[in-house]
Amino acid sequence: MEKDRTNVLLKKDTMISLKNLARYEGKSLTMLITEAIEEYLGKKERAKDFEIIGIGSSSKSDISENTSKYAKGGK
Amino acid sequence: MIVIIETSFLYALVDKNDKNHKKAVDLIKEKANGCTFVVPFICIQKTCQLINANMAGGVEYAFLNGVLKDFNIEFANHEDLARSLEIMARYEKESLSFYYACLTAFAESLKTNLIFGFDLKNLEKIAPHGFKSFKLNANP
Repeated sequence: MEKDRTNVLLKKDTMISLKNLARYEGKSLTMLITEAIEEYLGKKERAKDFEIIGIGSSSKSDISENTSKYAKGGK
Repeated sequence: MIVIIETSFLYALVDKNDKNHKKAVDLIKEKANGCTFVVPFICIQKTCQLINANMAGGVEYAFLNGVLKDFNIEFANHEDLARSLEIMARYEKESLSFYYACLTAFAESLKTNLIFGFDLKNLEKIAPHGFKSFKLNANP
């Protein structure tokens, strides 16, 4: 899987807890941080309700299949 | 898995009278847990155009609010635009427009060939770098 690098500044006490947890679980810091972020993002993703669903209606039913034609007008 | 959400898919989500509305809603809800949805900025502009040309006022604003909240938006940089031009030149015989070349450049920079949309005939013969073709509304 493609990966990107980033730098994060953590509070001293967070870092101490993280290092201890990593030792206890036998995992690397990278592994633990990745797990934590993925779990957090997973919760956020599930919470999405996609507010744009059904917020409008037009008089035509085929606009999504002919976007170029309908972008030019025709209410 | 990264999935590009194209204009026609965004529009189908918005318009409850569109024939692909239910298909779009079902697909995005089904894939919400395992996929990262990315909307190229160029698709937001085009969807706004469609909304303004075919729907009542107020929908555009609500649409923009919702997109900002629920989707990851990608903006084109100079490299993406330069790559779009290369792609246009490569597919000159197919008369590939800047819009579809830009989508292809985004796909390449995101290293994905997954795209959700209902008006993507122009991408059927296009191979983003690193892939044999796009996977349209495919199961990631």
